[in-house]
Amino acid sequence: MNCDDIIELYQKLLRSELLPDELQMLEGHVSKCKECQNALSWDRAMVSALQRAEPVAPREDFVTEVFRHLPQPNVSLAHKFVHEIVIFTALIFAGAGMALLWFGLLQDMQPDFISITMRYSGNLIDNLKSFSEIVSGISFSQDIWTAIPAQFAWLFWIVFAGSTYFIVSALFPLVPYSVKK
Amino acid sequence: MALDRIEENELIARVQNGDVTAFAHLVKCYSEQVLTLVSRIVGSRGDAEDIAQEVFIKVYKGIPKFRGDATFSTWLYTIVKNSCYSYLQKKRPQMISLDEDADVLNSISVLYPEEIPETIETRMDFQNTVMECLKKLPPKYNMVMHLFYYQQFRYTEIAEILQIPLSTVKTHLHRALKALRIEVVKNLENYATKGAE
Repeated sequence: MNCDDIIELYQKLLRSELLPDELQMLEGHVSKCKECQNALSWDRAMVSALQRAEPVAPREDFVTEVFRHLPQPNVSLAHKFVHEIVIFTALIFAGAGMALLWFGLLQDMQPDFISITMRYSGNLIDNLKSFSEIVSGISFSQDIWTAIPAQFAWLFWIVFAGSTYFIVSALFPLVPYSVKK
Repeated sequence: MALDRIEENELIARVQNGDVTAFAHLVKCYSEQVLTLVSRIVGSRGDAEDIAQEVFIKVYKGIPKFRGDATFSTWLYTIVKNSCYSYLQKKRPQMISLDEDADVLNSISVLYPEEIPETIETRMDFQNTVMECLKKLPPKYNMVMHLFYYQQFRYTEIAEILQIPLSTVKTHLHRALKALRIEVVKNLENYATKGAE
């Protein structure tokens, strides 16, 4: 076995990765080769010095600096503010829906839908109306189902439900399929 | 801050989905390792910070296309290597072209002093000498020494990072050690001579 044959063993030795039989092979050569013997003690010391060297710690603002230099995506204004636009639109619809309920301005909904709604919401609508009267001091003289044409009633409820969902998910991100920025 | 393979893959997937918090975490995990290697290759701390930042910006831009064929660290260190070499190409082109001729290196048969200076001088002096001499080596030797002995990468990973054959990695390591030995002995002899004066 000559010096070239043990190069890989030598390198593994310096990383303390030699298996016992490999170590025996290497020692066999080194014991007979003055040059390898001499070099090995130096190389061990140098590699040990390298392995002990202190790492270079980055500055505290390193991450901030990286982010400062990240490329900004080329987006249109609408795309950039889509989150805000969605929430604002949701607020408008939810606000409009609440205002319509508050002032009792829904009109002529399909009778069967009214009865279904009333059946499943129990006294919710009446309670909401009573609460509104107490808080606002306004007495509702109109039936709450007045003003908007019946054909828009379905659309109104879908938009109202959707808007409420958007607002809740924006405020509480754990809701499934939350609106993400 | 070491990440295991599963944690790393999850983090990368989140970054690819646009999660900037995940990217910040990735930067924090690897910034010290990257900065350490870069500063030891290029020498200047200030320039090393700029290059390290540039590395992570390239990671951010390239990560959507990262498919996981290689490990993230080999991909990252390939970017580190390319960034260091680009910098050295501009600032110190003579270092890139410098190459210890194999024949010259092989023909040097030196009998090194038997007593390792570590037993004579303080450990810190010897360590500083070794680190300074490493910087004087051709960048490919300096890089391979750090990747193998300091970062503990395997031969195959280093071959992937440096985009060289496996056998060349072993040859570079062998020559790097020999060149470093010669440089360290020369340095310490100069130090001893100056000390005697």
